[in-house]
Amino acid sequence: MQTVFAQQSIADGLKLLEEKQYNKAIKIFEEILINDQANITAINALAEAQNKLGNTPGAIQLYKRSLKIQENQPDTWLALGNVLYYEKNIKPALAAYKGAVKHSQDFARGHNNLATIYKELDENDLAIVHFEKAIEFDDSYSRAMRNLGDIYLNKGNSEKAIYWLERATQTEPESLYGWFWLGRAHVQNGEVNKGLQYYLKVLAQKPNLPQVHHHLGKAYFEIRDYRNAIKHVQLALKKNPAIIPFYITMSRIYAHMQQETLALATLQDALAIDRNIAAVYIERGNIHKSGSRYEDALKQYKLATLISPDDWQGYYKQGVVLYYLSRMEEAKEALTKANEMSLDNGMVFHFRGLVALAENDLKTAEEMLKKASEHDSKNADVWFHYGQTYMRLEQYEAAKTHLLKSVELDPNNSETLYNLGQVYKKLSQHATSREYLRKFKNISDIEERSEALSTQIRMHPENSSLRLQLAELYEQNGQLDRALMVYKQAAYIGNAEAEKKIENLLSKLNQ
Amino acid sequence: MDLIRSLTLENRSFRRGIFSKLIALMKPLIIITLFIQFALNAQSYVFDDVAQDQGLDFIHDHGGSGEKYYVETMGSGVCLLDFDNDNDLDIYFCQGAALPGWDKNTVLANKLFRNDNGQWTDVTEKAGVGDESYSIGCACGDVDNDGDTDLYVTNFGADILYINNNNGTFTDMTSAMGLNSPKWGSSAAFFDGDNDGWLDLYVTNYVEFSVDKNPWCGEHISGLRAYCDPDVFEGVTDDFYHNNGDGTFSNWTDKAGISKDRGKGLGVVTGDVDNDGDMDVYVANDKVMNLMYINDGTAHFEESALFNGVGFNENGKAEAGMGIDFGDINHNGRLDLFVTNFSGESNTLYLNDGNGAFTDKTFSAGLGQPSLDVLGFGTKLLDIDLDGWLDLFVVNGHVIDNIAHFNNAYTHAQRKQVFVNNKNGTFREIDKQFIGAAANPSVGRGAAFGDIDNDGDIDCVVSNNNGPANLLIKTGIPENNWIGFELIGNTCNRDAIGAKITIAADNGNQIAYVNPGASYLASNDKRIVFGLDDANMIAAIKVDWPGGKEETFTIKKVKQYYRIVQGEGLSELVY
Repeated sequence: MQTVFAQQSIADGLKLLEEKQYNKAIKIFEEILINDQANITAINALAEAQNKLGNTPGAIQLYKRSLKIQENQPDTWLALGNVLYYEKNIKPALAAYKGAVKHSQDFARGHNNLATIYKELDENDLAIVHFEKAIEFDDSYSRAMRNLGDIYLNKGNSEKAIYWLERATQTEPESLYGWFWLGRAHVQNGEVNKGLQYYLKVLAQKPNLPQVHHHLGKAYFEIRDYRNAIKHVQLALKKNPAIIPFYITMSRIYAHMQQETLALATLQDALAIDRNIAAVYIERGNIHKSGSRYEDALKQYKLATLISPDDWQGYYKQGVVLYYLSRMEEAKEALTKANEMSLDNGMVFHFRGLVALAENDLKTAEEMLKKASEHDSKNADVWFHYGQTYMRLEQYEAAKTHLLKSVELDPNNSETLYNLGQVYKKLSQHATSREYLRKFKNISDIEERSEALSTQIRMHPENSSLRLQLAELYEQNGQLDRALMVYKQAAYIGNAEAEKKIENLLSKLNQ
Repeated sequence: MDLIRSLTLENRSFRRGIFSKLIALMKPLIIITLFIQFALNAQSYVFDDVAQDQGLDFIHDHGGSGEKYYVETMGSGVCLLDFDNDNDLDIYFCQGAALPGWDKNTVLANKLFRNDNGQWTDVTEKAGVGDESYSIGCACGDVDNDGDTDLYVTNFGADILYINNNNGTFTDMTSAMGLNSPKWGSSAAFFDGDNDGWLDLYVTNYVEFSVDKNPWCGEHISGLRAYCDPDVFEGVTDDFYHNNGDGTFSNWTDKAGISKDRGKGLGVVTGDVDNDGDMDVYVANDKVMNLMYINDGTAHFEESALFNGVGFNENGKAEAGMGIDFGDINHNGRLDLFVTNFSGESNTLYLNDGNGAFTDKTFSAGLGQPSLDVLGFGTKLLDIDLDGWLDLFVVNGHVIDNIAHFNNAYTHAQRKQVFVNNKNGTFREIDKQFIGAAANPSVGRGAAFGDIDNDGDIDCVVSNNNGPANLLIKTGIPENNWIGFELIGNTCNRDAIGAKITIAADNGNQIAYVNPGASYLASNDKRIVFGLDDANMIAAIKVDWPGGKEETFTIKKVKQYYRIVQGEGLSELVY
């Protein structure tokens, strides 16, 4: 039982703690404990004061002492957990938070902090459970809502992410994190314009946040507003030039616009900051691959795997370019390695199937493409190649089934349409065959002209009239989204006529 | 001393013991290896390059100076013809010409070499065929039915028709005969489109290109210049000239239905794909759809490559087609089609399903993967081992001289390839160590095939881009039996182009057409050689002459050439 004196002293000590007079507070609490060693209030307060002064080992010891005297102290468990967490002692922190919720099952903060650690440990299912509990016991716990939203965002479940982040922003509208993550969720959900608005809302209050500029730039890129995309990513870089993903985004925008020299120069700048990021070499490889410079692409992908030998991507990418270089044995080797690291990877199975087709190893092709179709069932090309395998096997009904699946997913895939023309011919359904071949020819003629223009654009990326021609080709053939994208590129480079075309096309699209 | 000797003896016997054990172990392996080599070499696929030894000293010069003018990399062609009717094949080479910046102190002109029994004599000047234009390809045929072979040369610029004067000389009769083709011509072929007895002419034309508008192409990032992609240029229409039979031609391009299509033509071959008695036309285009013109019998054509399955490869992709040939590879009496394509693309084998429809069977036939890392040009379906089944010879060479920079598995100079028919719809490539000089890499372009040494097997002359020609003579005397025919028309065109020969031998029937116009930028021996394997009897020979008449013959001797004159019978030819 505390004496009156002790009670008065504790009150004084707590006041000093509040006033941040930690040393004085410590003196008082230490005095109390001389006479009353089991005074857990004093012990806890002393621990807090020690922690504030940076004596975290001392604080930890004191909390543990307190808990030994009385285990049922959820707040103390929480406080211990917090100290351990900030000291990066994750597992002990986890145990402490578990102690907090064990002794108080409706302890919202306890659940939130426990969930935070689970999230960091990538144990998302447990994190979700405890964040939800935190909210259940405190429906104003916006931080928990934000964290839940972030988990679902990272899982790709944008609908749930939006739900929780909207709740978070309604509960705590002044938290900019909430608006930022809500923006990300909308972008991920395909509602880019909505996401943009949230990013702008954040920047209106805090204009110097590089991550937000970066995401805003990415969002503008998605809607092909190249001017704003480049502007905001450049701002992100200006504000924090040490973040490699900013360079990668910048480079992707340039590469998309066939400005390969700028794209590569941007990645070179990234390497000047850190030469050991595999993702940068992968991007360089991708740029070379798009320009059909497969040898150069291969070199970059090999560098990526030197840096990250456990990353399947580098081996997969090597396999792809080796396939295009017609070096099938090496392609096989690289793809097999990628598969060993990423067992259920539809993309890898797909290319292993293509290599087998090139070698006319139809049994392996069938096996690989079957697996590819199981893991990547929405990929029209997979179904096309699967169908092609049956064409080679002269199993025309099976070929037809798979090719029809492909065309269902992508009705404008010229290869599939051509093969459907051939398979119906084989099945003596000549009228259907001709219909598919006519469709194929229309699309193929456009592809031929657009590829020719794209080749020239790659050689002369500054020539906006070539882009105008390409956009007009798309527009004439009803591919309005593609037309709009290319008009915007032309406009960005400075073609005034393209601006007018954009206006006309937008009004057409709105109709 | 005795000890040393005994030790030495011990060592020797020890070594002898080990050695004999090794031999015993390796014996089966050695026997198997020797057997394989013997089996392979029993059917020899070896070619010797005798160009230098025999004085065939033609060197192609593309006239370039580093500016990478597009025309530099595509030629040139070569023709086999017996221009002096002395029963051996002579050779005509197309030459490049000076392009801006070229500064060698020499005159570039086409060359005619006369075959003088294993030696070659340059008779260009005397013959009057040393055109100095930028020549691309050539075609041969008796356009005036006077018994000698005339010569058409396609140029980057105006083409030329040389009429043979039957005295070792030619006269340029281009304008006089109404021919006027100023486009960039490539391959050409003579054939009788309307079966009126006179050879018509199909000329493929390539792209619109001029030397004063030579775009910079290459890798802009490294600044490395390369020859342009054909995408950079617009295609043009081909030309079809009808032989009026009076010493003139008429341009029937529109009338025949050819002018509707603008391709980027590089190869042409004619053949009766639908077995209706007239010659159809197939054109290989560069990265745009190939064309199949089906003849209605009156030299009016309907283009149907898309629906007939020969416009694209099995992926529906237009390929960069160059060399072509027709031949019945599976003995079903129908002409199949083979096209050579770019590196990274396979060559393409289309099997004739009947009624003019075809299926791409490249990979199933084993011709896919072996052709991915090479770039095919001149080609021929021919019976190399004379076993009665058509094999395949492909001449390769890249178009980008600095290709190794872009793909270090590719080379500019490339090996030729020999594929043997396995008699079951598939082919196998003969390893380069067994094909002699054909394995030597070169920048191959036009290739003409024929029995140059008149020994019954087929030889090959290759024109290499910016380099010396190859004269690849098949070594040795053919082991298998064979039979050869030279046809002469009377009511049909004198060369009998389009005549179909069917033989029924002990080991099955074979068909072939008289048709020298095939391969790339080339004209071949118009004689037909059938391989007979070990059959030494031909039950029957049938000739379907162009225009509908047919005749049958019997013969008693194999390993022999025969001349068949329409309506006048068959006689042995002695060379």
